[in-house]
Amino acid sequence: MNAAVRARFRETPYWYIKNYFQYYTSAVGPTQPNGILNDIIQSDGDSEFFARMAWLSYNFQDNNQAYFISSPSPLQAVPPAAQLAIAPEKYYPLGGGIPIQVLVEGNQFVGPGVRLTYAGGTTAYVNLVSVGFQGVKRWKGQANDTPPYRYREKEFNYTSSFVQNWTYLNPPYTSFNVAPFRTFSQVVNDFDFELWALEISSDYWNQSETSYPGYMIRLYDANGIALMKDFVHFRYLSYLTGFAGSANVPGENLQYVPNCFPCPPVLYPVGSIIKYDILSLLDTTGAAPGPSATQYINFRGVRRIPC
Amino acid sequence: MEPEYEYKSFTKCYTLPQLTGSQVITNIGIQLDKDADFFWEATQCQYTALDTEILPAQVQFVDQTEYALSQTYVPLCVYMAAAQGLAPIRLTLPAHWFPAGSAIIMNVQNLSGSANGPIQFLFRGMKRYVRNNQPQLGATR
Repeated sequence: MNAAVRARFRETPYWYIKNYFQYYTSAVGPTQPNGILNDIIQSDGDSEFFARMAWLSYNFQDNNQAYFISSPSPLQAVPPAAQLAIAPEKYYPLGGGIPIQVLVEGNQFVGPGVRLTYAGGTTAYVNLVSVGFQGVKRWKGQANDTPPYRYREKEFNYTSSFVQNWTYLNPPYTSFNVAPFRTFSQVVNDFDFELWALEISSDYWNQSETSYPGYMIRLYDANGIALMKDFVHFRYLSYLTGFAGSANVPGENLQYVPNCFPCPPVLYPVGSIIKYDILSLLDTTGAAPGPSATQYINFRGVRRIPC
Repeated sequence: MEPEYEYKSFTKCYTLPQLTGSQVITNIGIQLDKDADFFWEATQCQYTALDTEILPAQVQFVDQTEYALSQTYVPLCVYMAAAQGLAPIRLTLPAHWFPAGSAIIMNVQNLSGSANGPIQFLFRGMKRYVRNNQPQLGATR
């Protein structure tokens, strides 16, 4: 955003995302008709949106219905194929939804996501596919996060943790009773804090992407406004690059490129809270979470030190 | 008059001895050289033995003014992800200034009940020297 535009608008990070949860059992398989599902991610109707990153496995259209990511066959359902930077950014006007297409093969949605298994006499399955955009909402008017004081920035980290000890489905699993999300928060003290990145430990301790389904996050700004339309998997948000492979060796088999969220940074004034919701994706057959089931989210950024 | 500075790349290495199970060590002083200020720009750390698993440990760094760079301990994996060179090195943003002769203070906690380590830390950055105003070679009076 150049200086002239910056004087008239401000941008806040945002995710437009749609999650497709499919529930089926070993007795009755998935029933989604094969083919291409034309769908739309509804706009919040409050601002323009500029998409800068796409998570997908099939086609995307802009608001003129023109394809700008097109593939004769589905892309790989996992990054890097399914994670595409969009340059130049794609513009969606105020109130304009985002048309998407989702491939269905074998009666299941295909795309980035996880599959959960709840073994039993009749095994329950949950297939999750996420399709979404990372970008910014653009608001008219001056940015309101410029403090009335001179400051310099100093690195600071808030590490928040929670115990992931609940599964996505509550028993009996074949009734598909989804456990509610849980809310956590981190108090910002002493100085205003700019959040620059999320660093999430979960793939690095005794688990790998192939066996640990993880969890999804919904992050809020200091005013309690969500920075994403729906829950987003932590592997799409964390600056730490995804999983560490079967041997849990750092740097090995890293599949997810570093994510840049939030971008631009989000300001949390002193005394506010960093609030986030967690939707656990644990099942009964995957790997257990890390040490003591404690998951760490490092909110990395800078403090604004008056000078 | 403002002094003229010269910046030179510098990496401070520190090897943390093996931690016993659930051990907590505070106020580990990593002494910096006295010849120049140090600007800490990036961190890497890894086991001294390659291809071992990530240590379930956490650290906290504090500067000479007792400014802690984190409210609590930070998972060590934040710094270890880049150890094998495939992921970006974790940058200290903005670069953190340490005066000549000061120390990076580190607190560390082993989350595991078993012994772990040793771990090598690389504090990467630049030294800032005051430029020496000696006459250039070949200069005439």
